[in-house]
Amino acid sequence: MENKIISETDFGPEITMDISGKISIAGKSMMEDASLFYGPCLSWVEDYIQNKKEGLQIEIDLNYFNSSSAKQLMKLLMKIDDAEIGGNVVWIYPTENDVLLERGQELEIMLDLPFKYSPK
Amino acid sequence: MKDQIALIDILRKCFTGDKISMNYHGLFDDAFTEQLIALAESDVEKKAKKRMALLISESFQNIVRHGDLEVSGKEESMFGIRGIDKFLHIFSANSVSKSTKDFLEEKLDEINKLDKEQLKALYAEALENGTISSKGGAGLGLIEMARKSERKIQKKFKKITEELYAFYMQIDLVIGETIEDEDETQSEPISIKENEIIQELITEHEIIFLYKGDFSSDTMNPILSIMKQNTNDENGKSIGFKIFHSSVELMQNIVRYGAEIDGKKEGIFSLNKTKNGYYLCTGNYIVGDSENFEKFISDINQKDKTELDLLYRKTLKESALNDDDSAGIGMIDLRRVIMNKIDVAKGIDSKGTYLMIGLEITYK
Repeated sequence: MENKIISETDFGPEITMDISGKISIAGKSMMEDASLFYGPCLSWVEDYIQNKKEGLQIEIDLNYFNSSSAKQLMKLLMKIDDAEIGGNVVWIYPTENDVLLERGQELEIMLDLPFKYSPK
Repeated sequence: MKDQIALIDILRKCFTGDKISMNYHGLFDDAFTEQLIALAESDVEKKAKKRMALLISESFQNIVRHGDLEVSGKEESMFGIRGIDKFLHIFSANSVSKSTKDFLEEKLDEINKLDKEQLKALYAEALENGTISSKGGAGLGLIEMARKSERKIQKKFKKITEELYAFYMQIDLVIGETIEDEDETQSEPISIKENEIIQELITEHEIIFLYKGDFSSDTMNPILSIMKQNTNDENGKSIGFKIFHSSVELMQNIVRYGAEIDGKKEGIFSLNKTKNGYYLCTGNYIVGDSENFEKFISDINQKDKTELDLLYRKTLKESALNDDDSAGIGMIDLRRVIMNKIDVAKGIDSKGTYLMIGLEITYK
C-alpha cells in the first residue's frame, strides 16, 4: 500500500490518502459524473480496509459539492462504516454556510461513524 | 411563477436562429470580460477569435468606463452577444449625458463614412495626437472597433430626458466562413432595432444573465463564475450558495439528459431578479417524453421539508448501494434547499420536445 494524492481540478477536490489512516478531501466537488473522480479513492479505501487494522479518519473540507458527489461521499463513508476497523469524520465547513453544516449532520444521521464539526 | 418561464420561453423563441446568444444585465466590472469571451469563443472560428475578444472587451469596457446613469431606479445597461449565420453581433446599451451623445453621434457618423484606408489613417492620427477628444479614449476605441469589424457600426439614441439619452451600439463581426456564393454575400447583419427590443425585455424583467447555446463543462465554468459574482449573500444567508447549487444541478441535467441536436446539447439558462429573490430557469430538448419527470416533480412539490429529507436520504442511500444512475437526487435536493415549488413547462417545436424547469430562490 502506498500514499496517494488525487490532484485538484476545476471541478474536483484534492484527495490525499495516507497509509497512517488519514484521508483528506478538500476544495469543491462538482463533476457531472463524480464516480470517475472518486473511483481511485474508493479502491484505495478497499485496499486499506483489507490490509490495515487502524481506523480511518476522514477529513472533509468542501466549500461545495453537487448531488453526484454526494452519492460518492456516501459510498465512501458507507464502506468505512461497514468495515470492522471503523473510523471517524471531521466535517469542516465555512462558518457562514448553514447548508454545508446541515449536509454533514445529515450524513451523520445516516451512518454510525462519529462526526466532529469544525467551522472555518 | 409560470409567467417567469413563459417570459424565458418567449426569449428562447426570439433566439431560435441564434447559434449562441448571451445577454448580460448584471454588475458591470472588468472582471467579467474574460468569462464573456470564454462563453462566446466556443462558436467562433480560430482566425476570428482574437478580433472577437478585442471587440467584446472594448465594447464591454465602454459600459464599465462610462458607468450607468440610473433611469427611474432601473439599470439600463446591457451587453449582448448573438451568433447568427456568419455574424457575431456584439450589442451594448447604456445611458449617456446629452454632451456624450452629441460627441458619440458625430464621431460614429464620421467613422462610418470612412473606408479601410481612411480609418487606418485616422487611427494613426488619433494615436499620434492623443487629443482626439476630451472624453478619454472613446474616440480611439470607436475607430479601433470599426477597423476590426470591417463594417459600419450600428447605433441608436433614444431620448429619456432633456439631459439623458439611451445609447445603443452594435458591432457586426464576420466569424464564419465567407463563401463567395450569392446567398452569403447578400446576407446582412440583423438590425440594431431587434436588439433594442430584447434590451427592453431584459431590463424590464431584470434578467441578470441569459445564455442560449451549447452546454458542456467549458460553458459551465464561466456561467457559474458570473452567477457567483452577481449573487452575493448580502440580504439573506446562503442565497448566493443556493443559486450556485441550483445552477450546477440544472446545467448538469442539461449535459446529462439533454438531447443532442446537430452535435450540440443546446439549452437555455437564465437568472432574473424577482420581488422576493431570484428566479432561475433552464430549458433543453429532451429524448422521449417527459411524463415521468413531470409526475415526479409534481410529487415532490407536494412534500414538506421532513418528507423531502426522508426521501432524499432514502434515495441517496439506495443509489450509493446499487451503483445506479442517481436520477432524482438532484431535484429532490433542490426542492428542499429552496423550499419553493419547482415549475415545469413543456413545448414542442420543429426540432423536438423542449422542457423547461424554473425555480425561485427567495430571501428567507
